Amino acid sequence: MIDLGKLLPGLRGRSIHVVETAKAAEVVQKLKGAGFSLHMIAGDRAKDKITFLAAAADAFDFPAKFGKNWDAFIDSFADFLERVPMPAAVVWTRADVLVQNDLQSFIEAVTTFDSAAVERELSAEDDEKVQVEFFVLMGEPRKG
Amino acid sequence: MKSARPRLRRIVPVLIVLSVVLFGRVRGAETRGATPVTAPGPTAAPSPAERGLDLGRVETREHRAQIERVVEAMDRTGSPPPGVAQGGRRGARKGVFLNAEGRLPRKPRGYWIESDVWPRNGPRDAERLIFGREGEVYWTRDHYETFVRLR
Repeated sequence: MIDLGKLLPGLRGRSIHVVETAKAAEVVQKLKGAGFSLHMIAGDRAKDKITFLAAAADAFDFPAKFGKNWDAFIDSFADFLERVPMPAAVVWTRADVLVQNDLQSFIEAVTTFDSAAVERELSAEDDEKVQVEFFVLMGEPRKG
Repeated sequence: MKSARPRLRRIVPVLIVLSVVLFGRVRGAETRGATPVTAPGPTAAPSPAERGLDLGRVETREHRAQIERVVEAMDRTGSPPPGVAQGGRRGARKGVFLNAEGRLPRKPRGYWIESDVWPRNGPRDAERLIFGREGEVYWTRDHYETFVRLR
């Protein structure tokens, strides 16, 4: 398991980490360097449940018949964690857009992320190096 | 010279009792060890109606047969037939359906268990069966958007 405390000093959170957008480039670079597969959610268009689920479907390559509801998200995200190369990092840019517009959906999303990651880690085979980390980027990127 | 008759009179009843006891034990052992023989009879699985399934909205015979197969396996073993996946939560009990949207009746976590319908062949499709602890069966073919109650 990669020690994120050493990789990204000052990082908070057990598996869900809130990070300022200003540090996004550094975080992404270090995660790539450490061998994480990266999966980016384009949060600028995720203003409510439906638009978040559409952004998640793109980020995680959900099947075409993915239902636009939280039960479908739980189901498909668990499947995604079964097939994705490990260790894996989900980077959610502009998460502040959903926080500001639909806090309930933001909570549904992060609780699903967390419980799915815990279940994936607990169900890992002995020789699997399962590690799933979530980076929630808040704020607009710097201009210029 | 003493006659042998008095001795025989004493021995014969003892022999009779012994033979009854020994013979009885042997017969008992045979009975206990034997496999009961029953006439071969029909062992057909219960029909959908016998299972309480209403498959009137399932269009094809093949589709109805596959749903019956999954329901039968879930009723009998708590798991779908081999090759048919269980999604949902992957915790201590496989296939827990959380009913996060509340489209089925609200129940405690773990009440609803889900199964795919078809054996997995590449990515899973959008069709699922949801089983309630009290025998309910719901069918969704659009990834939990809408449900039809089958039982």
